[in-house]
Amino acid sequence: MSRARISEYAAKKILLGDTYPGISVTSETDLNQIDLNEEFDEWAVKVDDGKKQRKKNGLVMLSLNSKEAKRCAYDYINQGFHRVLLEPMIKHPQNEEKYLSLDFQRNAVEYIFSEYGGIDVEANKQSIEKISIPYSLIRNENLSIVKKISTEMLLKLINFCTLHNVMFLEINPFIVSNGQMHCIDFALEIDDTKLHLMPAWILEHVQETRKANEHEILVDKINSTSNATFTLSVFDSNAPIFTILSGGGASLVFIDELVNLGLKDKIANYSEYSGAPSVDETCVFVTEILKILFKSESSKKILLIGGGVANFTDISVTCSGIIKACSNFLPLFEEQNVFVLVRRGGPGQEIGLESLRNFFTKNNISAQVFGSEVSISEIVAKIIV
Amino acid sequence: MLQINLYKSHRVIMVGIHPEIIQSILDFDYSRGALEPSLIAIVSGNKKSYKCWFGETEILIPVFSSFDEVVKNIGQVDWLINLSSSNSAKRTTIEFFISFPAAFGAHLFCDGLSEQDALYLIEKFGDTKFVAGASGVGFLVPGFLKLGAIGGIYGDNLNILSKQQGDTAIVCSSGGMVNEIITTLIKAGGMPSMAVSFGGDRFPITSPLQWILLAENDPKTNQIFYFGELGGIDEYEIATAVKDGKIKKPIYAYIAGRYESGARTIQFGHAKALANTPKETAIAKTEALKSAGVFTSNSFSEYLSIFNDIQSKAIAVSGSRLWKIPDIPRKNSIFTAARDKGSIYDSFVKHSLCTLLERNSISDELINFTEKAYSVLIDHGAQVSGSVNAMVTARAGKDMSSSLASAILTVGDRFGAAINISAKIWKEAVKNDVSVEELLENYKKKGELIMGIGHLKYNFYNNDPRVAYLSDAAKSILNNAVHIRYAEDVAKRTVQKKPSLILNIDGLLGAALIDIFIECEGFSNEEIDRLLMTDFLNSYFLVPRTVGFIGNYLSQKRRDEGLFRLPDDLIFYD
Repeated sequence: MSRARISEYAAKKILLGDTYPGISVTSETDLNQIDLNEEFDEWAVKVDDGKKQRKKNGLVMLSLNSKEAKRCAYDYINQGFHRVLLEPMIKHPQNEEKYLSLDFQRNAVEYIFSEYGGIDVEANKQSIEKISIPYSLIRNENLSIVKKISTEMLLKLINFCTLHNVMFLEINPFIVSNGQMHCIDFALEIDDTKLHLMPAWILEHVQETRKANEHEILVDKINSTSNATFTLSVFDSNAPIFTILSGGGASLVFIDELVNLGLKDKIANYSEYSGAPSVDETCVFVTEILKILFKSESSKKILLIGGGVANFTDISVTCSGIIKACSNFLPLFEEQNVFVLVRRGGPGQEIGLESLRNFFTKNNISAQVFGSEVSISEIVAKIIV
Repeated sequence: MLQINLYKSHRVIMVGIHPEIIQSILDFDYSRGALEPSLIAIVSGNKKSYKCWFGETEILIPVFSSFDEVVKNIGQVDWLINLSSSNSAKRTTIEFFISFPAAFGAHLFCDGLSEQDALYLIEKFGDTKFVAGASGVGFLVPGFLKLGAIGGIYGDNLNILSKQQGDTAIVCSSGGMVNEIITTLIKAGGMPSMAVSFGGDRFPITSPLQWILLAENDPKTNQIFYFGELGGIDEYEIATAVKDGKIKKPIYAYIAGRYESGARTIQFGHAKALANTPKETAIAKTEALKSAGVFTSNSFSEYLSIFNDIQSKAIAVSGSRLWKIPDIPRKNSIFTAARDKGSIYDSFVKHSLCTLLERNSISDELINFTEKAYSVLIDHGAQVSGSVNAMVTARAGKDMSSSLASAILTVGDRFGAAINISAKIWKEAVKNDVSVEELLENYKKKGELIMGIGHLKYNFYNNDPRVAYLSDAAKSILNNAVHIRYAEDVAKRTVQKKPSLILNIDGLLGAALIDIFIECEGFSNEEIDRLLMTDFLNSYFLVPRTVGFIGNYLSQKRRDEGLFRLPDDLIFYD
């Protein structure tokens, strides 16, 4: 249940449907096949990768004709941006730009409105209306506490959010023309537990917190198709300490302890798996991390397989998965001087850890294997880089 | 304000089945000295009982298919362990609290509950119920209540947690870490007063602050240990409450995820573990708590070492057993069988009824009637399908059991096994006060035959003597014979349409036996329903007719006319 930010194109498409004339292109699009609608003579081209402060950073070009627009999109793609949006300009005087955001929190919707939208919304604090609107008021459609936009408009937006499981919405800027709201920019965060219920094309428009790493993308795929959860973030593939960590809380603690020992820059990746994954799922996950490890240019390599004390996950199952994955890389462990450090506790730990020990010994892999008798801090202290 | 007496009552039901969690709760209960498990029922489909160990004895926990049935059969309940997936967690939790409005709370086990569902549950129950989750491993009161996998599923820790109580509350976002922290506390000589993993989602149904307030109001708790993570702003609520003097007991806190990722925001394992704004980082939250007066640690090892400094208490739970929770999972038996309730010295009919009904006393009326029914149904000529099968198989040179099996396989709705279905029809009709006309109309609309009416050989002009005989026998021992009279009324109308639509032996027996079970055996409506659900009444055909089929087999064996083949002119190929 985290919030997935989607592209501006997807957000506007969900809002406006087929009436939205914008076009989204990626590095896979053949720009020659794209025909910009002749009805519009002025286009805006924006990098649609979820980056903030686009105008300030030159990631938005305005008032282009169709030929220039396509050229501009082409340039952005060549610079390495993944997704670019081309849309007709909505002509408007700048002083009419407004700002609105809605953030669904525990007891209320956090509503922020500003008369002065656009780039410098934060600069004009006195024009801001910021209210926590309790859900009870929303249900009774009693929004009289909101002064700066009409109840009708606000309710429409809130209902839109409810309908599409949008938990955060930001329109910066929008203008009001003939009583209608026109969104110049439109950002949405959707509850990712509901993404699978939406049309499939939306999945390609989810802005990942960082793209480009094939291993992270693969782990994302495994995560979405399993009952167990898997996460991988690569920090620096040439750093020496590789982590395979279990448990949402425990994985954070391991990283914290490494940071406390001054090893922050030596951490190659964060990874986490939990929810009783099967042997095969564990194997695929561990394999991805081993791939990164063995490709790394670091001269010294340490594989830290760690976790807390599981409540009901069978440790021997995950150990089998680890063994299965390592079996495919056997000669590399010795060749690349990899040291494996294991700390894991929970049901089945005796059998699981023993089988790991035997596996490492049998295959001449330099390793130390510990159960819950050793604390997380003690284990991390054994790492020497 | 949300408050409960933690030690008042702990009747727990579970939606869904998780064998390890169930067994661990029963082990915890037995070990702490309970005479009965806290888990009193399971709600799940497709079975009626679930087998597990309670101490050294195997027991069956009743399984129901709805909360209504639990209310009807068990009564009130205090806690729910909800194992349903994120698709149905909201609905089942709401249903639970509607069925059991006085319940204290629940544990939602599922991962991936949508934010909107969580917000809905918070709005509905956030102020009145304690709900651990969604996700996480539940809520534990050592020596009293284990609501979830928390505490582990077997071994030393669980054993200690069932037999001792302490004064240190543990409020933790993570399932794995709550176990780690409990383990360290125990190693340091202390014990939890309560422990909860509230889950790693953005909106835990009961907020971390509410759990801390529960600990604050618990007389047994002297200090509170809190474990949180980056992401979300729940800790600011805690800081405000401390500043406002709402929490006076010392709080020791560690907020994990202190890795500063710079410009890049990293999504860590738990759903909420993402610092979207500077406020949500572990370090910012730690600072906020610290300035409110919470004792914060900058490293996890420092946090754990505090257990050695505080004098955490551990007191034995009175009444706990010497029995130790096993270190390894135990296997259960595969079948639960009934012991023979009859005696070998009883008559055949009486002993049969004791065995089939699992009772050790049967009314004389039922025994005598059954004797008559069995005798009537032994044999009805060699023309019927089962008998033909027995004879054909015998003439193929097969043995007794093969011939018998072949015959029994023809028994079904059309032949021999309509007694139970007819009984259901009569019972349903009488119970719902369906008039004869209505019944006939319904079946006409459905286009179905009424089981219990109609015969191939006998008809209005050529009565089935067996039906008359058993009908008289039944009426002579019955006062009201409600179902027999109903069935006869139906037959009176159907024979007017077609003479062969008489009340047949299945229909008569179905009605008569219901009446006898009600009037002579004292069965309630529910008991009759349960009896009919097992198809029991069809035994009235199968038991005696087995004799008949064996007779058919023997008759062929004695005469042996050789392998049977149907004459060509009796087959038509289309």
